[in-house]
Amino acid sequence: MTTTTGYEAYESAGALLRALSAPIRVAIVVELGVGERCVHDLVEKLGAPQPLVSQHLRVLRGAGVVRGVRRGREIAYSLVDEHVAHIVADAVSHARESRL
Amino acid sequence: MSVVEVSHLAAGYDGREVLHDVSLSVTAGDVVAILGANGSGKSTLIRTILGLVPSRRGEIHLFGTPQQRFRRWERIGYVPQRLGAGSGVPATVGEVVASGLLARRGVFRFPGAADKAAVRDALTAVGLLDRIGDPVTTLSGGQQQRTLIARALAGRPDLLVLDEPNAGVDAASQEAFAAALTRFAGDGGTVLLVLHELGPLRPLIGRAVVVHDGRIAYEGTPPEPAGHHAEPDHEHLHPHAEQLKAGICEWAPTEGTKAY
Repeated sequence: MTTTTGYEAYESAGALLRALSAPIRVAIVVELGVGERCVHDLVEKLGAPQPLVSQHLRVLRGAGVVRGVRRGREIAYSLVDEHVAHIVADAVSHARESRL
Repeated sequence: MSVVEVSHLAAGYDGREVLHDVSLSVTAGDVVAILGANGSGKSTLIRTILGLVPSRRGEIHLFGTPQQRFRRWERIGYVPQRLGAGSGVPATVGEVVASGLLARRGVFRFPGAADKAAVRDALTAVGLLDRIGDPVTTLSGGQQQRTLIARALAGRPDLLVLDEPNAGVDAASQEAFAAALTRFAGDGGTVLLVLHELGPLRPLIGRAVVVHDGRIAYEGTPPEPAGHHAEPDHEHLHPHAEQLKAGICEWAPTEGTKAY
């Protein structure tokens, strides 16, 4: 497929923003911005059932936002890099400012 | 009271729109089955309702709140479609079910003794109380699926969302699951489940919604079995049943599946 519109390069950026489109996933990224968390930490923090949190983590993992490392009986999740934390922090503070 | 309200919903993955224009209303106490062929969009519909797949057009309300503002996720018990190979986590049946209580915080949280009672009640409901101390890995696939349903029940949800709970599950487990669901619905619980076929759940289903090509093709009383599914010698073996091996729970998800 060839196009001349020139924005094919932004497809993966679009996919990243889609992965961040749900408030609960933004909350997960903010929480992981503080440090590594296991699923049960996120479940308790967010008050959402574990299967739902796990599925949201799958979405974030599929988009390359988070990664999981086994820690004994559980998987510990962390952000793949600092960029995502910055994108989300900027989005959160921007949204707060524009509401004023 | 409206539990799930979907109007003119369109949703999909990356470039592909799967649902085109779906409206659906589930009120408290309803037991609604979403039916449809593989690839019809029935799983995408519940995943979009839960916010796992982004919607493109239309609106979703959960318990009267727009989905983007909904926070009371502990009111929803969710059992996703089973995820394939197990992770070998050495958890007991009781521990897995108890993890279903974690989402209840603060004032919604039960005290310790009530937690234990909730776990025992949920395991009784699915007929697995005698396995409470056993490692989940020693259970059959159907029993593991029942454990996951018990985990969802333990959180005492108002709405139970289940994605193909009977896929690849033995007949005894299907019957036990039907009994647990009957009790949950009898206590006023609301159920939304994706099914490949009605099976032993048929008497319980108040309304069936058939999704075809991303639209609702039928809505009403559960359709009668027809075609080869209805024949007595049909064994209800489907290609996807073969992939369902251990799969404890996504307590420790396996790598490699792209979610969307």
